[in-house]
Amino acid sequence: MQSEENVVLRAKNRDVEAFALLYENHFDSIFRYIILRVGNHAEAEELTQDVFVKAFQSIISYEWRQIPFSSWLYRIARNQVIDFVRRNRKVNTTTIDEQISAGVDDPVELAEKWMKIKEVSAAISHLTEAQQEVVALRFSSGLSTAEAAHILGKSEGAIKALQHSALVSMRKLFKE
Amino acid sequence: MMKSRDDSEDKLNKALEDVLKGKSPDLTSQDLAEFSEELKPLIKVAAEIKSTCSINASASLKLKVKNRLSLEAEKKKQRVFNFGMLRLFRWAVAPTIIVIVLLISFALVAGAQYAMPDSPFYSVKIWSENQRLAFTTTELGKAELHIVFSNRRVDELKHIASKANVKDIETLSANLTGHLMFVVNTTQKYAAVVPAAEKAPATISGPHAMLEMTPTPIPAPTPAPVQLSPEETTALKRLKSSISNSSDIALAEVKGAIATAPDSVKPAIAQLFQSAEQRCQQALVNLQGY
Repeated sequence: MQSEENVVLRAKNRDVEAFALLYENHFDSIFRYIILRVGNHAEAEELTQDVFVKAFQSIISYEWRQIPFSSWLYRIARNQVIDFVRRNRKVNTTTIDEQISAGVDDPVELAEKWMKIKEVSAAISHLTEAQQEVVALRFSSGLSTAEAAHILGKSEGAIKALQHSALVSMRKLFKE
Repeated sequence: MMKSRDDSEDKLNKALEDVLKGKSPDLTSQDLAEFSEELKPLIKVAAEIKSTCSINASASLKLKVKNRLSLEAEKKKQRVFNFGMLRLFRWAVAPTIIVIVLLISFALVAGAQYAMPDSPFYSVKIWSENQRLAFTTTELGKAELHIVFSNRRVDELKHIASKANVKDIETLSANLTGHLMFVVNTTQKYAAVVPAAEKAPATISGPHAMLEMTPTPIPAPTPAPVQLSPEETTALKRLKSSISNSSDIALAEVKGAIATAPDSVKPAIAQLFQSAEQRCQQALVNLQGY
């Protein structure tokens, strides 16, 4: 088993296999973060691609500082999402696409899954920007409080407070 | 109140960590103590979001991204091939440019040595001659160079004489006069150091016989005597020999040019001949004691 630092150093030296390993480890969680933020699978696919291409292009400038590599990827993803939201103030409605794998084979079940994602994404869009970030990083990507704090440049206490207030708001929104 | 809120957030966070690790929301709610009522619904909301978003990217998307990354890797390799070496030797860029500029300059100057007055590179030739003069420190060395350059002017005259361009010939004539005047003035300084008793009558043999026929009186130099070093004496002898040999051939060539030149430029060339002949004669008279 290779340490992440070792893999990152190899990827920095243009080792494509090492980058592929990083990609395998983080692709799904980045995709989940983006899909919840943009609520549109086609855009989420594009943005996820862009995140990894950008990471590949600029990994040479990445400095290992005992911080998980995923933090760097999430920062790229976050910037991509911010740019996307800036460009598209009105987010497109989500369409059902059989190409998206939600771990379900049944088209009806898949459609229901996407409807739920759309609802959650729509509800999240009513939160503040910081709350949206915390919800996406914590509950969609499954990051720890410490990781989310590092990515967003906030303290763990602030992340706890944000997730609390975000969940309170989400509960109200779901009730409505 | 503040402590209670912090406790509530901590309890919620702990429960959420468990939910994110896959524990059931009902099981995590057991540890919430007095916050149970407040936090239970929030944990359920979090669990619902987690469950809703538990999707993976499709295999086709992953393949698409992999292909795109492979393309990027290929592009990078090409870029490294194209620019990697340049980047590696970037310290050498400035010296290389300097060397290239110097090589071009040398090539230009070397090529210009054969330029004629009607060539665009002729000014480069004159400039390089002036540089050579500037870097020559002794008067006698400069005088020798002026003799060399005088010969070049005569060669140029031969080239342009047939083109009937009076202006070019006048320019050449002025340049030639400048060279010879320098030689005359220099030799005149050294003529002063030769004791009058040692001076033999000016007898110039061979092709210079014609110079003897020139009726122009040459004033005898009179300044105070100066002691010469052996090197200077040798240089003066060499200069005298150089003037003597060059003027024989050069004057003959100018005469030849007069014969072949169109009528329109003949007077200008004749005037040049007369002036050059007179100055060569004067320089040789100045150096007759050596």
